[in-house]
Amino acid sequence: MANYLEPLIIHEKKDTPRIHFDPIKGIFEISKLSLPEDAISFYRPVLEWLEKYKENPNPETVFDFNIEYFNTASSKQLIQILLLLEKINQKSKVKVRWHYKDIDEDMKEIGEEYASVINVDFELVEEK
Amino acid sequence: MDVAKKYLPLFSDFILDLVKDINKTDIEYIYRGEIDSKIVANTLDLAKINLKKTVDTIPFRHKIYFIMGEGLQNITKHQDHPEAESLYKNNLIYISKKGNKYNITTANIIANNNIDFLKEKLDKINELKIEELRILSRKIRSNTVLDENSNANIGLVEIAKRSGSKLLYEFKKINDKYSYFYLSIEINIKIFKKPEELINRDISYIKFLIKFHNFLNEIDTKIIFKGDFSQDNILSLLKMLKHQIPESSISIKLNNLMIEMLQNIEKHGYNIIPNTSWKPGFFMINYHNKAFYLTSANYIGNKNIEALSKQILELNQMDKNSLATLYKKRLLEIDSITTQKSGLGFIDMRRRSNNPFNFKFLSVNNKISLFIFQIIINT
Repeated sequence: MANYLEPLIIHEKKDTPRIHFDPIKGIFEISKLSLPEDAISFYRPVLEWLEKYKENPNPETVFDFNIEYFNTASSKQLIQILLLLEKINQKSKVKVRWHYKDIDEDMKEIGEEYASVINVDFELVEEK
Repeated sequence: MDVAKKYLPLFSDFILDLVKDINKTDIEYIYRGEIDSKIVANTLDLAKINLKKTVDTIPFRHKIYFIMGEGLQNITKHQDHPEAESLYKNNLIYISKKGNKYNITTANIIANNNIDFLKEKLDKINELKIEELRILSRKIRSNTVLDENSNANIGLVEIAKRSGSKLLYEFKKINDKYSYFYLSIEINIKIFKKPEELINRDISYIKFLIKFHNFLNEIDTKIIFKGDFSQDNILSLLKMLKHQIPESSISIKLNNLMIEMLQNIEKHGYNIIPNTSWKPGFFMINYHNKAFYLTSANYIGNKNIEALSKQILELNQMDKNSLATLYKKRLLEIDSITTQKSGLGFIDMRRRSNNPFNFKFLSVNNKISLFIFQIIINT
């Protein structure tokens, strides 16, 4: 157990997402809204945590992106997360699940785009 | 070719008139649609932030805030709901500021058979002296006078008493059953000594508003907002829009575009008043000919015009595939990860809207210009 990283839980705010990373429970999820003006500061601890996780990842990591809206400032940071997951995927198994509402064509399209630039198992999950 | 005229035959003059000088434009905020307690709360949130910037004295800020709340709640309590939904979609909240006068006008639906009763109440209030209003208010509060019909009395009495101006009103018939009820409240923020009698109002103001309301209905205006596009204001405006347009693929698109558009203003706008973070902007959303129009206006430094213009024109000429390629390229560019200046916002907006942008620069002086920007979303 000592090898496990402390979970990272950041509660959602009116314009920032909920972050829930817990290696023991196998939960890796970003959800709700991501509209911060300063996306760099918000995502810094998230990226730092994942950097540490990269050193000793679970044999299998299922990562859920379940974001309702995000701004372009966030999209730059999300790609950084995906690039890290790509690196983790080199030593263990990573699966990305990109959730989108069935009526949100743009979110689906963005997911497809991310899937095309990142080399990990990438599943688009349509939600009602 | 003038891009604005090509795509905007109908709105160009109207919008140009509204934004010509954002600081001098009277309109602070317009909401057109169904009014309920959530909309009232959001409007008050927006007003609170704007009041801080536009009204110096705290007591007046409180006063305006109170009167606004009272006036808006009055609508939600007493509007009649006609069967035809399209009618109350025309309800209006109109807030303007001209010189020292704040004006809050509302329009809502009322059943024709309630008009006489309401008219009588309003006339009675307008005839009273301020001291008499104070006594009446106290009596109603302590229940010594039966507020025979509703709580509206106390609301209207308080509004008149606190604003110090007569309540300007008008009824405009819609059909045999319903009319619009226009109520305009004025607060003079420079009068410190209260007059004994309510200040008279210029009746032409409400005539103008009725005409303007008609126009807003014609171009199906949802929101007009002038102010600072701080994150809090953007979130309040988003809530407003969510409320007005039922969730669909279009509403999601509009939300995303609105966030990018307004955050872009906040990021790149020009501080018009030195030593403040006051970046006045204008935003409007309306629906016309099966398309939504998002229009913004903000000041930019003249030295930035050339680059911005070039960027937009280039994006306008690109097709879907080349936009996607450019988006991916910018997304992965390392140098822009830490600077937040990648131009990704414009590419994203251009892709989502699937239409070329409309834009125009109006010169203000040798330092700054007004940048008018419009996105069209076909439905």
